[in-house]
Amino acid sequence: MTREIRIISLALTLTALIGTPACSAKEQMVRATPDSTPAAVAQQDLEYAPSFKPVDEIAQSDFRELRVAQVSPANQFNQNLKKPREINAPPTEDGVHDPADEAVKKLQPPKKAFADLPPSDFGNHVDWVKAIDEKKIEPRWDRDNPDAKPFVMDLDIVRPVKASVPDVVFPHRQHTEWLFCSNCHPAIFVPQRLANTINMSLIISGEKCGVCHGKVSFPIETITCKKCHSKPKPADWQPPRSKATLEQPWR
Amino acid sequence: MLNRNTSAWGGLVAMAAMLLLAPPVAPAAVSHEVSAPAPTKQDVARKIRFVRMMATQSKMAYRLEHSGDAGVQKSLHQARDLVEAAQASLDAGDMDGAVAQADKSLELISAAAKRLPANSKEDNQLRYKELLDAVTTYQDSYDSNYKRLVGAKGKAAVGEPLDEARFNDTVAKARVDAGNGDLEGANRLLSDAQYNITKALTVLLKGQTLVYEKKFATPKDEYKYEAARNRSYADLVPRALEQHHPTDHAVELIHKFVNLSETMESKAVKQAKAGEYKDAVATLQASTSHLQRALWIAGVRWSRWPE
Amino acid sequence: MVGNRNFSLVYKVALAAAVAWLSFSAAPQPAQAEYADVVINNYADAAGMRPVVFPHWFHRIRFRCKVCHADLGFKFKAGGNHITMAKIIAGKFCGACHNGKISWTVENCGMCHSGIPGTPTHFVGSTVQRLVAPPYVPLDRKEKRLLDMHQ
Repeated sequence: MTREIRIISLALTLTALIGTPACSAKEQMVRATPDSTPAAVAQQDLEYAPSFKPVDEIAQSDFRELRVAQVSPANQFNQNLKKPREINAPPTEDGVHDPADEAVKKLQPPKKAFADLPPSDFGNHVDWVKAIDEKKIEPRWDRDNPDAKPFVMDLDIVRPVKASVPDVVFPHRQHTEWLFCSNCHPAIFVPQRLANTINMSLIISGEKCGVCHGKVSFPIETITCKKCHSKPKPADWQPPRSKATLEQPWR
Repeated sequence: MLNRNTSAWGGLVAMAAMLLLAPPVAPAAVSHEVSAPAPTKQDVARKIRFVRMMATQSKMAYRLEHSGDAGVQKSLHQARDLVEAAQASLDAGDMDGAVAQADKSLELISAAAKRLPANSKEDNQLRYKELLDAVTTYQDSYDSNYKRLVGAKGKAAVGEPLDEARFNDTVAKARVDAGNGDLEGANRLLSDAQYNITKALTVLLKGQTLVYEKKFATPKDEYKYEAARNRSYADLVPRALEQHHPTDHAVELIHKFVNLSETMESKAVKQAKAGEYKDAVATLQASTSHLQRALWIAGVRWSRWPE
Repeated sequence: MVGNRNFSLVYKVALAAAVAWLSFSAAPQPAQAEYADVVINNYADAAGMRPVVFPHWFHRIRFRCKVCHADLGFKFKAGGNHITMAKIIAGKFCGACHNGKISWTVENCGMCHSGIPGTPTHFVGSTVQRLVAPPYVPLDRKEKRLLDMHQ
């Protein structure tokens, strides 16, 4: 019993020692011996053609030092790049819940709930629209009646944008699976053509689409641009130019 | 000394092995079905204090006391007795008993409060206004979409998703009720109307795509649109300043741009008054681009500077 | 037997080093709280309670947005609903479900009031917060004397 334990602990020790992080600034030098340099090899007689003496056109030094440097952590690659933080941390470790509160231990860790749900790269790291479409979750439409069906409105609104980014397509279907008409209309969006000014400044500041997106629905990040800006411009699209620009084509 | 207890080291090695292997496994092992730990004295004292406040000093207690409902008043008095009993249990050291009594007292207060009428007059009025706004807006939207679709596809294809007579009846009745002061009744009727018109809109607009292209009928419409757009950016500047806390130098620049945009905007208003709508639109667009720059300096940015 | 003694010393040192190095490298990075959690601290600090942390994800799995935001009257604003315990006990807002029938009752104070004291009202992980807001400083726990307040 003890013999086996000794072997195991020896193995552990060796693993630890061999896997030591690159903190020590040791250099490893591999020195090539004179006999194995190309120049020396060229001098040796070949077994099958003793008279043949190949000419080494490129002069080599007698020995070469191969230095494998160990970089100190102060000079690590991507020094200032923030390391990715743990996503979906359990409540006791998430930085918002107070771990000193005993009841926090009773709260369900999100990872457990998200195990079966389709993943995504932002927000909660769950694709909620896919989850409800694939019936992985069945949230209630009515507080008391689990069988009530939602009013799903299938209406797309296309908002062309001035810049060269793809046009915005707003799909009512995915939104009305979750929301009711009165959540947005008329308080946030007037249901009328050209009655709503929407631009990225408003959205980032938390108005219009930003009332939910960037707070509780998927956030405004570079990977989520294409979720709204989803209709590419036609091939012959030209940006709108003002009269002044058209008269001064050098600009 | 020579006879070291190597089996103890064996234990240590086993522990070390567990430590090495455990970290990726440990968080998953924390289950949320942990039984509640025993409450501390401060927690129980605080809960009793809270329930006592609810039962004796709060506005709700006043409402319950003066509700005129004997059952409700009896529950309230029982709740108060239980709170004092809980305090006595806590003083005697019986923590679990104290918690149970405080919880029961809270339960009694909750049940009593739920028996009273739910909404205050202000709540009802707010809800009435919300519902009326929604219902009238949806009606306008339904009418304009119905007209458009009938014009495009013909009446037979579109049908009659909404029973308009019944809908108008319901809304009229709700207005009458609200006028008489029966806001709860009015809200019920308006909810019903909202349900019906929502259903009708869903059926009417199913599977369609609306393109909101900026095609204006007249230059005046375009001017109005540009003016609203300019105002939306101008309203954002103070919000951006309080959210982003730019440096003093940046604030100076922002003020410069905002002043410039205001000058151009007043120029545009003059041009519009004189009837030169196309020029007014161009001036407004320039004013808006100054505001955009000001917001960019403040820190409201989402990509590189737009073209 | 003599070799045994030196061997054990080597074990001690090696094990200590191995364990220390491995536990250091496996230490968790600072964690990211769950996106869309709402920390509500309108009245909690003044009352000596921890602020409330409302998890959207847990409720989203069970209810669609309409139930709370259209039927129960919750506005789309963190802290903008002015929810008090009295309203909850009367069956409004959270009390519409946390009443013992649909979900657990209000005597479980710590399940909702679970935030770090002093955290201001905000949406965790919101675009505005990440791009904009200065970092908040939680109150020093010792000075707050959360649990000593009611001796």
